[in-house]
Amino acid sequence: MDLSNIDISKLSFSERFYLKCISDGNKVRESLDIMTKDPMKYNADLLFKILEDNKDTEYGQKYDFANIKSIEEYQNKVPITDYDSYADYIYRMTENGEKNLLTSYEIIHYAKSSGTMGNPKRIPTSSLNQEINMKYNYAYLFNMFSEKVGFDWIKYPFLNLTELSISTLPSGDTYGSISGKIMGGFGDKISEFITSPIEALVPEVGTDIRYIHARFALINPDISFTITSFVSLFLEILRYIKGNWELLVKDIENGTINESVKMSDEVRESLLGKIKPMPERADELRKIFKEGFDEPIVPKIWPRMLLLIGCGSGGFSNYVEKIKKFTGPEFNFALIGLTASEGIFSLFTELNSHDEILIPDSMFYEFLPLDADGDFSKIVTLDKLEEGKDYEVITTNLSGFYRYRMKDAVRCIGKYNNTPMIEFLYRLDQCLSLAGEKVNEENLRAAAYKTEKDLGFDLIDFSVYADSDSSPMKYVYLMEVDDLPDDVTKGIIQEKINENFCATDPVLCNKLDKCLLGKTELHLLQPETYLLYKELKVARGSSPAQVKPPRVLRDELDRSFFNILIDEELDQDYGWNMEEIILKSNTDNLDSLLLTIEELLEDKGVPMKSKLQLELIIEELFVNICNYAYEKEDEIKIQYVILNDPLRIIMNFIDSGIEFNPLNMDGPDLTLEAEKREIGGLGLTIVRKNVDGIDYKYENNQNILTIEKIF
Amino acid sequence: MDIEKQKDGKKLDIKLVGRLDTKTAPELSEVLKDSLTDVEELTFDLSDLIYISSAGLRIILSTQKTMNVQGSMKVTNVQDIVMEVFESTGFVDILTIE
Repeated sequence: MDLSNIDISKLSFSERFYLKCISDGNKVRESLDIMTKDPMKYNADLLFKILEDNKDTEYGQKYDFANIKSIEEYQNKVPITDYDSYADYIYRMTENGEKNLLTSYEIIHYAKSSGTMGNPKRIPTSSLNQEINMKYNYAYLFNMFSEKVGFDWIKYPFLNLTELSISTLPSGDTYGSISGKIMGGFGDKISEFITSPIEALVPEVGTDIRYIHARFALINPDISFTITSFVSLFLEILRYIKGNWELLVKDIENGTINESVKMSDEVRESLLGKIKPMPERADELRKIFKEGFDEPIVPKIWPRMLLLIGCGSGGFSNYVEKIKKFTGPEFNFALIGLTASEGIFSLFTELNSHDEILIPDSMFYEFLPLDADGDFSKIVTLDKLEEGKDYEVITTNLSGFYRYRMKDAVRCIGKYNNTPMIEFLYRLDQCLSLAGEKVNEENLRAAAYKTEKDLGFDLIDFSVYADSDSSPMKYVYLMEVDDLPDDVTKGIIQEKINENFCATDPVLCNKLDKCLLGKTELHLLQPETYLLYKELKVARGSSPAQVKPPRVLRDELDRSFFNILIDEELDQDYGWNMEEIILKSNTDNLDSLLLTIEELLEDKGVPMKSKLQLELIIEELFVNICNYAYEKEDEIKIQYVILNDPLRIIMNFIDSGIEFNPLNMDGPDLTLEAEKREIGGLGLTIVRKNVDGIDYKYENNQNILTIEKIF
Repeated sequence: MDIEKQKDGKKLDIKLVGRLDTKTAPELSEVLKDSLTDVEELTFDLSDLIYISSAGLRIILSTQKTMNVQGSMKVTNVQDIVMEVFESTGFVDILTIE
């Protein structure tokens, strides 16, 4: 890309930063292209450089790095490790400031990694590692972006949803997110880059950061892209805007912050100092939002926003599809592959692609085939990866980890030049087995998302556990759902889940067929359960950007958390099939309808008064439809079901006549003479007075009026 | 749900009667928004609370966070059925329950 005709002296700090990235990106892409043609050579060179550079460290001496001359020797002499193998060293480094233990490279930061609850890990990051991050996360990416959309975007700020909280360890080193470290380096210039104020970037406990991100983003129509840790967070902001746009627009108009938004007085005051009334922008936004969210809304709010950068592989791919409904087709995704705290592991080959390649100069890779059952002698280097086969990743990185198990499962899906392309599958510590089958996150996800799609509801999130106490043992799905279509009940979802789960794996299916495994169970969770889960984790010290919904519930704690939050009402196994009768829209049929319902209620101990009220309701609704729905006689469909606890009837009155929502009608004007009153008005008042629940919708050209009467 | 407030200087007692769920949680949120200013000692009397859902727990949690900053909060007279929820969700470690 030619940057030679740009006058650097007239540029702002951020523009210069981006241009440097873009220009570096040319070199990064060229050199990556060369390396990917002979990846094993470059990957081996990297290993020997690491060994040479670190031969005098405590760890290097212990394992005799100085005398390792081949990859084979390395594999024989140096053990496979996990975080616990380094915990003591890292303690000495971070508490006492000791150096040269694991690595001779300068450690500039410790990344906070989402470890187990209350025990986040401290992953060392060297300056070399950070250079690699800059190269591939920024230079490579911005270069590709500019190639696609030009350079105009560098003038504008971006929406940053990553957290920049950084703390200091006893050794004086910084500790926190990697992005926090990088953006922290911008110092005061950060406001040139980012729309969100510090109150959202380094949030105080109890601050609703969704509001702050959304508010400060909405006032700026020029935002050019968004960076987030996990793409799900961007979706959360978009959903927040969808649900709260009136409040947001009002605040923007008046330069206020609505009292109901959670934040401390100090934060509120400080934020108020940064905003002023913007009636024009508010008008613009109100117009946009009033048009609704059916059309992509992002291009209307932020016409320049063309890119989302974030982790969107594996379990997050579903969120990408949901985000697309907001962003429309012109939008780009830079789906960062496996960027772990330990280093950047894989890289997309182009924008909007889920294909990821290994990076020969980022870390030394080894792979343990998943079917090797933990036999380390079966470990292979990247040149031996077989297409279609699944592996666990083992890395030797630039920050002092040697042959470290990342606990990530990947599949080799092909080659780019001669370098393996991989697909992230799941976290290995999230693999389940009850009866010899192997169920992993991929199976669980596939079944859940297929079910969501098949039945047309909105799956907020879900978790699964293996119930080994029951007989036969079984899997249990817990789902938080929204927008459940009326005819989709818990029983129906459960059937679908069973069908789809079984279809993900023949071995699993076989076990289910043989009743070695019980039928998969489903429970529906209360609304906001996953929000609560997240907030609870944050209250206990996890970083908000890092909390992911737990797919597999392993410990008793998580299990009891979700089990107690099952929605007692939603989760009732209705599985009910409503009885249905179809009648001609003729008032002569009223009696037979009433008779049917009366017979149904016989022996149920329904009080006479309730019976009479129900009859009144039915009469009013039925006659109303007969008289007004159709021009000529047509059909009326009546569905009904009797339910217990409490004893009640639910009825649907369905007609395909003119669209008419009785709930929109005001009560009748009783001061008018009878013949001038609006039709139906009085009857509907009687209905409303006597039902315990009433609902109307217009679907498939049908008026559907639902009533519930508790006896 | 009924919410009974009693304020005495910097002390605020709130009694919750009925069900704290998705439908009623916004009411409590509304009440708390207006009444927590200057409060240093907040007590929730849950003797007549018969049900609490995720939405209700979220409000209790955010109120606890607020009170961590400006004073103290305790929860009293918890019925067994609500206590079971506090125990299962780990709220017992976060709340002061008497």
